[in-house]
Amino acid sequence: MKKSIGDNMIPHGWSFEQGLDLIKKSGYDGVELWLGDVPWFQMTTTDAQVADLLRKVQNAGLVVSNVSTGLHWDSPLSARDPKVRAHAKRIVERQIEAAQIVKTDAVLVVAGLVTAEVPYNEVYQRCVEALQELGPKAEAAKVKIGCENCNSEQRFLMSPREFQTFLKDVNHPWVGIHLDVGNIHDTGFAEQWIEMHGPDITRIHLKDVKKHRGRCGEESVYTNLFLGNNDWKAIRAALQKVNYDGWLIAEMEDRYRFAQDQQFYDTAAAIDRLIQGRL
Amino acid sequence: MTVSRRRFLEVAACAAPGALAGGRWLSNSSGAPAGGPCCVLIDAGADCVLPESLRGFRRGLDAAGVPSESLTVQRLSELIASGASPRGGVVFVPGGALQSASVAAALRALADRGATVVYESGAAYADSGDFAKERHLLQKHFGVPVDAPIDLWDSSLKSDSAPYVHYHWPRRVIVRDFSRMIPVSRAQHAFATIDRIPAAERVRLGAGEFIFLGSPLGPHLNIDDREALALMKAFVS
Repeated sequence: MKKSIGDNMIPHGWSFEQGLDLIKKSGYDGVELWLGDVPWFQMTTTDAQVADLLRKVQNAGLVVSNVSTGLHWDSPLSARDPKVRAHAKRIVERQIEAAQIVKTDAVLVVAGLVTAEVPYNEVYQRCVEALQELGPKAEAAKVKIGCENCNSEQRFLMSPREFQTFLKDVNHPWVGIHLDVGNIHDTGFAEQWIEMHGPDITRIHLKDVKKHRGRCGEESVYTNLFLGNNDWKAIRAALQKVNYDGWLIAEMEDRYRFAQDQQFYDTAAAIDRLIQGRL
Repeated sequence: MTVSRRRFLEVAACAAPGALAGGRWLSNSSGAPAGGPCCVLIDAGADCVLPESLRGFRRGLDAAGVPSESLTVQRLSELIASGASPRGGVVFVPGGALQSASVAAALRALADRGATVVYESGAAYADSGDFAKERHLLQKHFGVPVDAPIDLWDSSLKSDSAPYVHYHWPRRVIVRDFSRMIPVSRAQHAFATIDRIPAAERVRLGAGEFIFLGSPLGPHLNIDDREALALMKAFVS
């Protein structure tokens, strides 16, 4: 397995090149590019500029692990407004185009967002329809769409079996799951998601989660690897069971307040120990 | 699928209310309907701003086992121009944002000649200019005055009531709102409300009727909502 970390982790005020240098020095093999989340990679970034990002990544001795985006939180594929949905699809298409340019074969998509206003059934149906449209485009580009399990935040596809049914309904071999082992919280166990989805997993996001450790004892909070409640031995065993040998991508949502570069080193070391089984 | 003028006219001869087009539902030799009611679904093309609503009505009609056929607005205009007369029948126009006077005139002619035209506005999701055009055409051709779209989930407007449309005709059902609605102003025959705001209106026109839905129903049909389906079936029956 290979290690990657998002360019959205690069400390504020640092250039892309400085960030890549840090990522390389701290021991990662690749970088995850976040469309819309960083100044150097926006929807307005041209193909030539995206190619320049690849050149910088290669100059740093890295490769691009995948192309992600947080833009779908504001423009979900499940929106009622058809104009918003059209924009959401365009975001995925741009991710796919960018993935081709930066020579990677996976994108992350937050597929849908259940809210008080837009109910579950609508979100489900629209996401299935949207992904059925996008699947052939992904196939043509040879880029897999990985729908992320953002269970609590999306209030959508809360169980692994439900997610499996969703993928069956989409029914396209180029649409799978981008599994985040930190997003499962109290609704299950990451290792069981890994077992169930096996070959449908396009990429894995790594973070830990402290269950019921919020100020009021009712919230779950994201944290660094090995500090939370994830059973990392079980996660590693499940990865072995399904022969997952792809990218492990750090997504540290809780950032160091000081010495932010240190979090890159600490996380890389933790992933190394996970890969090596020294737990 | 296109419908020939001959078939349209044949169907027009069908005595069954609701029967409009389609060979399987033509009147038999005695003039009685050969099958149950059937409907026409108008694909408004560029004037349809909610394509999922069109899919929803198609799905709903299929689920209800109601035979239906699709017509483009162009084909509809041709049939109307050729003098075809539906003499009854239900015509659904899903997710529209009426932009063309000729389409409006064709729908008006359908109603005048005996059809029930169920026009579902999607104009709350159209540009303001398109809404203004629809507003003008609704008033001019159907006598339905409407107000500017309301964003029902705007926090400054949102009331404490649940997000539902209360229909009391053709049957009492409650269906979820669809975030934005076109309210009917000076409603004479409103049959649905959201927070006491008229959300649907029926107008007798000639031998038929024009039914305006200001809150989209089709998207709910697209997810098999039971109450939405019951309402659609009630329109048909």
